[in-house]
Amino acid sequence: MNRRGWGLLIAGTLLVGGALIGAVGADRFAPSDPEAIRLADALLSPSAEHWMGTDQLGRDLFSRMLHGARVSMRVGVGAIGIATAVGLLIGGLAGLLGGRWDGWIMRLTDVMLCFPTIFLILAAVAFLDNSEWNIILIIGLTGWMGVARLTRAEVLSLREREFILAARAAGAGPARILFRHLIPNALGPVIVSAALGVGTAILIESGLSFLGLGIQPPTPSWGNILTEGKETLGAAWWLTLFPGLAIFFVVLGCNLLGEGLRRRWRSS
Amino acid sequence: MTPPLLEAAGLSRRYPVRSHPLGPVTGWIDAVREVDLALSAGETVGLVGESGCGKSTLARILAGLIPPSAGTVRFEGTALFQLDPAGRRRFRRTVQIIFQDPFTTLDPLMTIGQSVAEPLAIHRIGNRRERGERTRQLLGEVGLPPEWSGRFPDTLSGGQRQRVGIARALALNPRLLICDEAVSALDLSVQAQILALLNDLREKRGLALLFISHDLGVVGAIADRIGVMAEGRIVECQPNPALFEAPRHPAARRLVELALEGA
Ligand SMILES: Nc1ncnc2c1ncn2[C@@H]1O[C@H](COP(=O)(O)OP(=O)(O)O)[C@@H](O)[C@H]1O
Ligand SMILES: [Mg+2]
Repeated sequence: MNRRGWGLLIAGTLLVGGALIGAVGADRFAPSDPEAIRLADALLSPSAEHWMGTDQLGRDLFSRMLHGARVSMRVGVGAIGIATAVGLLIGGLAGLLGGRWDGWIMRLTDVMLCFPTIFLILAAVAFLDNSEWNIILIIGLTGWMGVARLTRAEVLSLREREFILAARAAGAGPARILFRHLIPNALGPVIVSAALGVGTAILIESGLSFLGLGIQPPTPSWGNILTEGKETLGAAWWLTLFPGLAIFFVVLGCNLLGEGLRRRWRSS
Repeated sequence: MTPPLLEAAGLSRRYPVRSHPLGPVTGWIDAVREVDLALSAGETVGLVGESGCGKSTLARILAGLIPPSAGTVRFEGTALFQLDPAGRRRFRRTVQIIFQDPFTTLDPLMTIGQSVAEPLAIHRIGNRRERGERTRQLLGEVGLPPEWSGRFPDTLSGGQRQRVGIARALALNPRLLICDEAVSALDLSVQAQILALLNDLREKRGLALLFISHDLGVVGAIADRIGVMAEGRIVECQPNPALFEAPRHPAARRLVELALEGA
């Protein structure tokens, strides 16, 4: 792999890794309780005491951002975990079974793909209560189609690759073909798409929370911090700048990581 | 008389045609039609025909990779589908195949050493160290530096990858090597090198070759006997130089003209 590929991988790992460390260590790193209201300290600009300033209710923004990272990371990783597992299963089955099964399974996938995902999610959120687990489930169950198509295409094209035929000509059985050749070769693109997907899921959660349909206050999430910040946009820039930047950099990090992994995979 | 190494009788293979994967079968493609062919030990048989005439399908049936729709392939006199597990293993070790596309012939995630050693691992031949030793020996035999064993395929040129494919096919000491357009994707000078390697292996190992190409010029450079395929059938079969002088079937005449133009 060339220097550029390594650069992407390292930059992506730093950005995503930073957010992960912040999320995991939120309790330890946060200077104060993210939900502790101190009206006397409302809307303080960033300072040595409050690195990212405070919000309308005097809560420390840095603490809220760390706890919000937890929500973003859990939703991003959880939803994509579900989407990837479902997509691998459905796409792998379609590719392996082939013929009519393949036709029916992929027709179902295309039908799902035809619904604009965001409306599906909005409709589902309207009926269910918006707990974090429900949001993970909804984003995951509306996001598997890409992985399914990818896996199917991988399995179908791999099945015809000459190295598979060569292994069969040497006497390899189905288990060896599956575990030594098909799965390792199909996994690369799937992991790449999962890394990209985490970014998308984080963006969807932020969007939902921004619309008031996601994580409910007072629990902080980057999306709902942004919503609250927008009311005081003229007076307190930090309330929109920091969550905006956090979302931007983490999604960017996921994309860099995905692209770096893609190059890494292609070159080995 | 001992039976030929590999003998095909009345081989056909058809594929259903559907307008879409869920649609009804609207027709059939006869990729291979009633082909008879015998390959004896040590002999090099060429097979030419335009692209799409069924050469690869025939090669894959002969290598036991896909079943025929009709007809039988006999290995040392026994039909393939009647072989017991031991016979099947012996068939796998005796008949090997190399392919056209140097970019998909090797698993990109395996080192070339792992690829070459895979047939040995499948047949549980030797321990890890012995397989490594044998792999380096095979790489040497196909003209690659043995210390490249740990490299990944993406660091090799097309011609070098084809050499790795040949080394892998030789790992089980086969007696017949089916070469399906083995040099077609390569530059002319590299083609000549790979042909020279195959010729060399044929002499040193007494290997029989079924050498398949759409280019009669290439086949003429190596084969003792040449079969011409058209629309799934073998329409003509003649000893090597004779075919160039007196092709009978129109398809054969066309291929001879093309080959002479190219030369
Ligand atoms: N798996 C398949 N399904 C449907 N049709 C096939 C399949 N494999 C080959 N064919 C058809 O059979 C014919 C012969 O193909 P092939 O054996 O690859 O020819 P060649 O190797 O001479 O170019 C072609 O018309 C091709 O489209
Ligand atoms: Mg072909």
